[in-house]
Amino acid sequence: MLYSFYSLMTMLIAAFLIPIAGLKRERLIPHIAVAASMLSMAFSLVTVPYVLEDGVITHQMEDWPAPFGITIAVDGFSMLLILMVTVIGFLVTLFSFRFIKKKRTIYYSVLCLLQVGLLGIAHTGDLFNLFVFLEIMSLSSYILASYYKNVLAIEGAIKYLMIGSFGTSVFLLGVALLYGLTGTLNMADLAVKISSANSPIVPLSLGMLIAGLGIKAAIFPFHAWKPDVVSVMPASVGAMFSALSTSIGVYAILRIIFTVFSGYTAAVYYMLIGLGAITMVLGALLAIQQRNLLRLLAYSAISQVGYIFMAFGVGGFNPLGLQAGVLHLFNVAIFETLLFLVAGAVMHKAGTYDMEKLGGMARFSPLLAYAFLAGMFANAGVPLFNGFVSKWMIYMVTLETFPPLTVLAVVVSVITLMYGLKAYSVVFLGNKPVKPGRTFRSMLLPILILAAACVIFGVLPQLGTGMAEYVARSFNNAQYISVVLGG
Amino acid sequence: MLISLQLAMAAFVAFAAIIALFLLLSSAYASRSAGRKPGAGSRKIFACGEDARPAGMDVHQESFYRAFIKSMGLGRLRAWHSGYLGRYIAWVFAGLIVLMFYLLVTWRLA
Repeated sequence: MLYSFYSLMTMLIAAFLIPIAGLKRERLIPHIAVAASMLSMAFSLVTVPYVLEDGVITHQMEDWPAPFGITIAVDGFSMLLILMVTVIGFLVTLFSFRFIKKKRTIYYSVLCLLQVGLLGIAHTGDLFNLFVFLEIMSLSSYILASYYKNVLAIEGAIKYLMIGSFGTSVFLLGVALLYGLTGTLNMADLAVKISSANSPIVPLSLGMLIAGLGIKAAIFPFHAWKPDVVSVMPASVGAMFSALSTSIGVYAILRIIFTVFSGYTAAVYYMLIGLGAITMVLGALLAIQQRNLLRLLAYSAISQVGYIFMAFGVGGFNPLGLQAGVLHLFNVAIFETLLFLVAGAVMHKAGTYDMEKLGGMARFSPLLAYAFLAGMFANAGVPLFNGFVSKWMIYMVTLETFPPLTVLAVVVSVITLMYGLKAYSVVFLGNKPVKPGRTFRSMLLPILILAAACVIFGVLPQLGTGMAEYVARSFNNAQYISVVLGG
Repeated sequence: MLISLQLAMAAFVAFAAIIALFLLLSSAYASRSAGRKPGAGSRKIFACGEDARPAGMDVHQESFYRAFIKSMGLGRLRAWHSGYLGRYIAWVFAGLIVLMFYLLVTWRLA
């Protein structure tokens, strides 16, 4: 039973209920948003046993059979993304309870719509609906990017609007070319027809789809917009961005490569490895130079996405790479959200993200300092934290397949630790005369939950590796195709 | 590989636990033998023989890795991320062309 689709419906209803409720009592808005995200999370959790039992669950809208109707298909990989969106969405909404004080109607309503877009991309079984939900996600992001309505925020939003629109246009062009070639938009049906197609439209459309989604995933050379945009939005939205919007971009690219274009040559895996390696290095080298805490974290997120792509590229030659990539995708969502939320709490206390003006925060909030340390160690792949488990898997699988990548990955991890220690030392140590504000419990609770998750998944690696092993099986598209087209 | 990961983790956890216990016991012993903690006013910051005020001990973010950044020439990377929208769109467009060209050539060769 596809209860997880009710997660999407819940957030959609909340998105339209919030402005109506806001007319009468604006104080109700955060409560509605938190309740909706909690319900959404519950629906997604309830779906997990069904996916574990059946492997792939599908639903045809209005009972129109595939490939003619709208297909909703959830396998292990999409279930993981759905869980990530709903759980992290709930934690971010809870954090926003006291963090966001103005323009709550717009903020919460659009935040719900953002989650609708993210959930829709994870649920959809055809490319056109993927484009529709991509647009919903993108338009919500543009609005949230301009939340503060100052010059920098509007500039950042316009940059993202221009580049994002270019990306979705290119994506739609790729979809149109594929439709013209095969006559279908259903991903399972496309996988069957593309495998027998012999036309240059195939590589051209693949390139367009990857480029369009690569902008959302912020991989090299489509990454440059991200720090400019993330640094001007609220940290809670930045957390959603870096953890979820990027992950969904990664998910969509991998869905297209491993499900739709599964019979393509190994060249696509080399492409993933190359782009991943460059992104990994570039993100780390730029993060180390940043003065603004949010920009540093944005470049850090870009670097971690490079690890994910590199792992999946290697996974084309060694199946363990797929497990490593899945686990790192999951871990990155946890610790990047944690780091952004801590940055938001720091800003709430001190009023700035400029590291030149920050310092000595550990004296006023040791819990925030410990949480940031946990996120930073997880980011760098220090043992006892979740990042170590996935990075160790990446090191091992690259050592077996392409050893120079292991050296590169380890060096980038060292650079990650360097800028992580810089951020921690500058923000939390020292003795700056900063007048701190209050950290509310609704802000501290999600931070502590995520910090605990970083430690739990690090000390008990079998939790993550077991999950990754199951999800990695969904990259073999045979079951997906047979269930969608045959069921 | 999973077994080696688990062994590595188990060994590290055991090693870390032993070190942590040793540090805990030694710090407890040191604090007992040192007597009462000195007041904040009598603590002096070690700054290589110079007198330093606590308020002056700030960590400037600019001083971090300045030599590393300069020696590696990383400033050029920052220049490429100038903030100009036109440059970003040019990168996106160039990336799209290179990507399509690469996939087309490899498809032809396959």
